[in-house]
Amino acid sequence: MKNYIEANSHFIIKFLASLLVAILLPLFIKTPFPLHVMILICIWAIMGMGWNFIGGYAGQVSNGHALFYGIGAYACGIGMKNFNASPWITMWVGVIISIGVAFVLGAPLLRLKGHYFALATMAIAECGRIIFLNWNYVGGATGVDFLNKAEPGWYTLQFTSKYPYYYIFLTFVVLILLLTKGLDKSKFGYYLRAIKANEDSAQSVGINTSRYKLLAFMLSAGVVSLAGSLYANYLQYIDPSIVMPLNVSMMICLVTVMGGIGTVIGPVIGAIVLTVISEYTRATFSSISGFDLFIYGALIIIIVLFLPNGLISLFRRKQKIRILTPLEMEERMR
Amino acid sequence: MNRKGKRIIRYLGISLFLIILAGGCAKDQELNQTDYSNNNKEPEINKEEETVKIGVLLPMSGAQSKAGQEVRAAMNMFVDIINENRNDIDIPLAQSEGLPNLGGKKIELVFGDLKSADTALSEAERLITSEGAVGICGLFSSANTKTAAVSTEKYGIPLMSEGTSPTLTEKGYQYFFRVFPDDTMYVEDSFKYLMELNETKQADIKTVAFISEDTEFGKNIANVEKKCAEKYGFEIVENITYSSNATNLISESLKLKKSDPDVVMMSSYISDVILYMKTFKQLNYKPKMIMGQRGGFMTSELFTALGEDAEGLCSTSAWSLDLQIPLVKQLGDLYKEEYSGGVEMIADVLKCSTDLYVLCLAINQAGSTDAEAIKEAMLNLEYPEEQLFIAGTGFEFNEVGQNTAATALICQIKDGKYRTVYPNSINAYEGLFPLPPWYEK
Amino acid sequence: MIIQCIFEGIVIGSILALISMGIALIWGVMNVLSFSQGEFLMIGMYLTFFFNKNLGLDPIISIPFTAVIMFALGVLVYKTLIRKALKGPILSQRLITFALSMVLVNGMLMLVTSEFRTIPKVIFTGTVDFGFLVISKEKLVPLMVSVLVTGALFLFMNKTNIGKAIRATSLNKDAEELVGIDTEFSYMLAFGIASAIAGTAGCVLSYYYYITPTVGTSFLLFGLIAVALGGFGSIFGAYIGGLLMGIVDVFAGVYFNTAFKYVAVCALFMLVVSFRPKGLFGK
Repeated sequence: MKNYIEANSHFIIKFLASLLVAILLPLFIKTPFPLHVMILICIWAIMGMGWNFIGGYAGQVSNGHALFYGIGAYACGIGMKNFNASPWITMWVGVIISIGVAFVLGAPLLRLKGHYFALATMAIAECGRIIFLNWNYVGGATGVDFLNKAEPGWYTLQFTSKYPYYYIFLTFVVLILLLTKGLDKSKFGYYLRAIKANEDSAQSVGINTSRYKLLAFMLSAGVVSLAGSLYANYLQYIDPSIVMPLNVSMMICLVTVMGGIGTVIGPVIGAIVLTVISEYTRATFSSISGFDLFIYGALIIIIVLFLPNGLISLFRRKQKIRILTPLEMEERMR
Repeated sequence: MNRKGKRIIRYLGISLFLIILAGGCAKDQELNQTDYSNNNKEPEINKEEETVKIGVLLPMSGAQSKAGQEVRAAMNMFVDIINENRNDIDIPLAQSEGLPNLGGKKIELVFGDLKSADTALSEAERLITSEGAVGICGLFSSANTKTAAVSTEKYGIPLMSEGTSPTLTEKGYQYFFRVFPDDTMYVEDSFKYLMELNETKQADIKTVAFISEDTEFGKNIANVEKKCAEKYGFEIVENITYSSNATNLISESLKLKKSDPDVVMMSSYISDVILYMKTFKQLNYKPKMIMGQRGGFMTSELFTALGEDAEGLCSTSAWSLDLQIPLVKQLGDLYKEEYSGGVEMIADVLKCSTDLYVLCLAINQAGSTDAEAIKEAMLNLEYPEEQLFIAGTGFEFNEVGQNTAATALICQIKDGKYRTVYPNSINAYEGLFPLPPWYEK
Repeated sequence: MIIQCIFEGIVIGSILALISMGIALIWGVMNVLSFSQGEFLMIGMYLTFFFNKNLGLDPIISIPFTAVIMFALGVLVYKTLIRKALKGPILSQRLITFALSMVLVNGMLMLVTSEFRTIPKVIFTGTVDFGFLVISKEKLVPLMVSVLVTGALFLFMNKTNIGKAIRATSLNKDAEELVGIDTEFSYMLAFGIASAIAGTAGCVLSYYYYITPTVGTSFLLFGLIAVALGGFGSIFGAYIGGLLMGIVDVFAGVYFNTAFKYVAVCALFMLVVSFRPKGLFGK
């Protein structure tokens, strides 16, 4: 234990400091808009970290995680609307369904390599969107509206104020961050990295690559589904075009890549930067048609182009043990 | 990249980030410092404000932004009419500067972007809390209305929306108002028109087919259409749902051609309307009548994009330039000449800008910007019938926020203009039935 | 009816094939999944539109001009963005093309607004009605152009020295540098040709399609899937992939359910890749 703390003192200090900032910051905010931005940051951070397991650590770039996001959101929506079930339960139901779907889809999907995996996941997510759009039980295109004005509270996870949302979401961010940190240095994490670096050699040293890839896929599906559940409870209205568009799938990747793919806090940094840019450019430049997304896209290009290892590379100076960045890993492979 | 370059980029990046953040926050702080965290009470709107701010949500990017710009122009027209002394226009609030009952306070619009349904929630919230909007209106679809309503209901701010889905009024929103008819009324009128054609013109319409896009807009209309068709005794030969923004609509059109209904009822956005018409033409297929349910059929782009191919299309509507009311022509000309740069006023643009006008009326009648007072005024809105510029008898909102005095119209396109064919009382244009084939033999 | 379906399927398929050709080229040569290809299509459509509006050129006649301009634009994009991006990891290359598409769509939106435009008059118009089959002359144009472009590209890649060099680059970058082939030049050429093809696709599509800044996005996913279906890097495969998707699209719509026709297309794709993980003609 002591060794662990010593080895990670850097991380622990930074982690506690930023946690403190994250907890205290809302107390100085009086208007809801910045708080809304912070809530979105939490959602994207969870999604980014979830995707990071399969896309970052295992190197299997999925472009279809919107499917799991949607499943999570719908689990809460339908649970609340049709069964009056507490989101605290249904969010885990959503996680289980997502993991199940990932398990079923994972077997054929994970056999595919590189771009094929990306396209196949993309196609599956698109199918999912169309199916939800035409599925009457889940409301179809009309969506699920579970704004339940009568009983806000902890049971329904509906609040009139934004503060409880923020702190609940922050708790989840912290939990998943710690989970990532734990897996980062575990056997599991190293296996995944080995698979990413070279699947064949990983297989040859006795790693059951398909099993670990599947595990990572299921884990990431579950976490992303959790983000979907939380977002649904925040929005209180969902339809397939909100929770399952192609854009969400791409943004999940973007969050992670911008922050630093395959790192613990990369997705969080990416979520902060990306959400702030996106929300504030919209608020500032919305009077000119299209200008906000233009700026947004241009900033993404600049960041991804000049910092291919993510924003995290700005903060990383000298380290005793150098961990190979994904770029370096890819270069060594060549 | 070398270390130095990296460091420069880092500082540049961080400072840029902070500037954006500070910019965003500064904007929030200038405004009233009310703590919204405790939301059991109404947000206090700063009474010292010089102007009455109204939040307007419009699609600024994406396929609908052109329509958004037109709505914006029309809203500016109404704001000018209210804020300035326009003796030539005989509607309430025009003869005075600003809102007389609020000491001549002027109207100011604050705009937000309606990119997708989930941004509607945050943008509505931003307009209410950061910009101090006392009411929200804009170019909403039904789905956007639902998310925007989450915010407006929470803060107790009136929401004026022309999302036509009947589900909106069934939800029991407290502060939701709709000036123009909902889908049920539109669809009912479409079928009544068909019945009338059967009687007066021996049109012999028996079969109908529905084409609807697969989001909320199309799905709801398809449901209502199905009920109405059964009620009025028409046979449904095809009920097609398709993905909007599809890359091709061949199979939908082929299916339709195969079943050959007398009337095709379509609920589509403009992109799909263009593609359908082009595809029908390529297949040399023309039904006897194409009845659109607004959406893409009520846009000015229909004429520029389709030209002659748009002739004869019908659409339900709430307003038309050929209503026999002098005010309509006056407003239409004012809009065309001074605000839109030559584009004719169309129904959907007028609908959204009328929302704004009605909201201003209610605020004026209430004499306050308090939401309860506005709601009270809205429910008892007084409006002289001779000063109306819309079809119907006035503004009589019921408990769920629907204007019960509104009437639906049916328009047909003739010579690049919408001409009213139904109801008969308006009697503007006799209508063309059946449609001629694409190519003369 | 079946004959009509097959005909329409082939027409849609050849348009998809034309779009996927550029994607296949970039994928094969540079191993990048280009998400901005749909936007090059859109820019090609706008060029065609403005040629038609200001100079009165028919879309067919403007093909060479549009192709040249698009080639130049492609080279420019390669020089400024892609060349640098190629040094980064594969994922950031993909995301840069995604962000580029965002910039292009919204840049275009600011320039020309979202107004839907069409080209009012084209040379080939009208239909030939056989009763069991209605052939629209407007649709023969994409069909012909698609066959011609595919043929030309196939010959170029297999018969000319530059084409062979590009193909060789796709196989092994380092070896090529050893034997003195300028990989940089090959990449640039491949990207330029890919955008020129997208521009050409824009020309023929604007024959009957509407033109708006977001038009490319909906074609992109199916273009990508067509390439993957055919087998990456294979021009011929991309063509067959496109045709197959077009036919499945039409048949699924007519005989199954229009709402689920894209599900059918995706199912076809999943079926193919689960048996052949590298596509129909992939090696």
